[in-house]
Amino acid sequence: MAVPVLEVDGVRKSYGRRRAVDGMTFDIRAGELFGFVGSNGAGKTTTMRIILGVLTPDAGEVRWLGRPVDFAARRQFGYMPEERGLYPRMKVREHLRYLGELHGLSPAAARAAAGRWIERLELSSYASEEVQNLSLGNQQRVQLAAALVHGPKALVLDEPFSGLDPVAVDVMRDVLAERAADGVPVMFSSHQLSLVERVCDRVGIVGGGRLIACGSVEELSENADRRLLVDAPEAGEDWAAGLAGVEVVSREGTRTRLRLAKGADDQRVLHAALATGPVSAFVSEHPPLTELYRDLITRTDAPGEDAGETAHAGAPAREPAGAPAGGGGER
Amino acid sequence: MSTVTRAPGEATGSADDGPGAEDGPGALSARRAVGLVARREISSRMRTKSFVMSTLGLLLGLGVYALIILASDGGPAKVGVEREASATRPVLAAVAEEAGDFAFVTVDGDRTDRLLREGELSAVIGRTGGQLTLSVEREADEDLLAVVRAAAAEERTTRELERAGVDPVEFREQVASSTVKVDALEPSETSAAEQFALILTSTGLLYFFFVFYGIMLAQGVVEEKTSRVVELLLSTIRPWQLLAGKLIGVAVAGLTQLVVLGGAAVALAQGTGSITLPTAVGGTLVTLGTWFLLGFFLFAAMLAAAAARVSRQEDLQGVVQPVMLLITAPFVLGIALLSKNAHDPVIEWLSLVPPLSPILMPARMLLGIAPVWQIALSLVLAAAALAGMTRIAGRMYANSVLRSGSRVPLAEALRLR
Repeated sequence: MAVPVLEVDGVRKSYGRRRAVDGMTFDIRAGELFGFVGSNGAGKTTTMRIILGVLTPDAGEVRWLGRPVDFAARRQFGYMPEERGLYPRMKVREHLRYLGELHGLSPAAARAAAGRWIERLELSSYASEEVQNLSLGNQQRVQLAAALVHGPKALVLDEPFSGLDPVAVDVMRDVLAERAADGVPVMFSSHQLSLVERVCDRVGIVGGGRLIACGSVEELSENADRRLLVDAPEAGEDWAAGLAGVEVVSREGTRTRLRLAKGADDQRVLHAALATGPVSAFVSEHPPLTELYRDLITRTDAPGEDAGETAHAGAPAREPAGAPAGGGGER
Repeated sequence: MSTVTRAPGEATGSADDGPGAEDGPGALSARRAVGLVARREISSRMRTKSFVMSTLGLLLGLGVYALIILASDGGPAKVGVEREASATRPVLAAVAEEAGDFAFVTVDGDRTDRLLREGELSAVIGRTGGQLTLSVEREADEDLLAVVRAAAAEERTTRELERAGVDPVEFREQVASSTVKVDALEPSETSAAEQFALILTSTGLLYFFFVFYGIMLAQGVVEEKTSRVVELLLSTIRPWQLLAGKLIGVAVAGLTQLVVLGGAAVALAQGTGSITLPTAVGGTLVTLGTWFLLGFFLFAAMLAAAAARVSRQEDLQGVVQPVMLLITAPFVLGIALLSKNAHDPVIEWLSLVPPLSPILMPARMLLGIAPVWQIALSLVLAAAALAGMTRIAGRMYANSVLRSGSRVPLAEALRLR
């Protein structure tokens, strides 16, 4: 399972003087769900379009099963572009058959595959409707069917979950999990971090056009600052002040949430807490992906900005990246 | 049929051995790719309301045009000849043969008024006291008046000649030869009108189709860019295959409409006898069809390449304008120059050069004034231009079609990769 099948190696792409992707390197393994997260304009879509050959990279390469991806290899991929790509005036079933045949299926096989996916994605009542007459959510299901109709060996999906209702999210998730269970590497981008955390085997976090962290959520949290929840009822306002590498995140009544930098000793925190009186709770918390993401982006955002966009590194460049659309915004 | 029965959950790997797929997924011959694109294009074009409506609308237009022609000369005008004047009938018929379309019937004198009022007859020729009379309901047809006058003059001449001892038959032959000369002016007059109609319909039809289908293709290119479906398509087929398929598909749709309309137009023209075509009907259509294809591919490839530079329909106008000029200019030139003097050497030379030839040459061929070597040369030049143009257009298309957002600069679209 741990064999990397799809490798992105040192990929760089500039639009004019603007570097959209720089030194992007990661791999996806057979049968895994790989979540691709990052702020708007971080380079996710550009990377996915490069994998699909929609864009040519300025440097670096994409490998499939150890060989540079060529046209024949790409034709076995399934792709869902960021902006939905279907003929608005074509009927759903016809459209899926057409795409199936374009991918080299025989007419009979394409018809069968189209029917199968229409049923699986609960589109049967819309099969003879024009794509443009469907709701956005249903169009998205058709889009997924379009990516799946030729039985792809790898799936690259740009924001497949955006704009879906909860039921549709479940259907989409199940389908992707099924594909992965069949050994297909599935890569998708998303801003719904809780969903990514729930679904994905591994997560790649993109910032400033490069991958700044990659691994399972546990692996990521190991490298991240630790969280402690301390409930010391008699502690003063700033009982934790002066502890090296310890930062108070929040206080709710008697409970204090702390963040520990790398190497900070939690036992010293416990001692400090006990020094104020009784300690009724002392919990090491796993940070959710949302927080891991925020930490990582904040930490790496500023240097990323400097490397990319010196000319524009004015006042807004060093904003904390909590608001993704804010800082710099050009990437 | 393992592929057919495979449930969605089963391994995708088995899609490889899908039966019936000659090449199997992953391999698609260029011909099949182009064919698939073209087929989609044809079915999506010909099934649209606009295709059906424009075909019907144009057919209707032709029908109305034909009706107007038919109404304006509803067959030969019936002219009654009273018994008193029946001796003049052969002379009348002989003169009328040259001058107009009249049928002479013999009528009784007492019914003439009624027949005239009911419109049965357009005029009645009688004789009172050696003088020919022409009775009409309101106004005498000028041609008919001329015929009657000529007949009267002829009769008088014959009588006077006989009185002078000259053989009227011998003399009539000489008069007849001079009549031919006089009448020769008339056919050439109508022929100029015919020529103009021919130029207008042929160049007009071609112009309409180049513009209509060229724009349709350009809009299709932009639609694919706007909807991003092009990203899906180009991950499985090459840009040139997509472009070629689209060109062929739209051309087939256009040619179908052209043949339907052209066929109807020729049938009407022959039926009403309003225009005499110099070549056989089939030959005319083949001519138009060939030039339509050459011209269409030439213009449409340029239009598609230009259209690929923009991502929104609103921006289309700006990029296709220069190309449209290349289509409009020969049309305007053709109408202006050809109708003035079809034998103008300027038009001869211009009709050989590619951006102009697809509109000018067919008009000249229809007029029957294009020598074979000129036709051949213009075809060769157009084909050569087409080969060069599709190469450039293909490059522009491939360079631009995946670049969404703002308009792709011309220099970047043309860049070699």
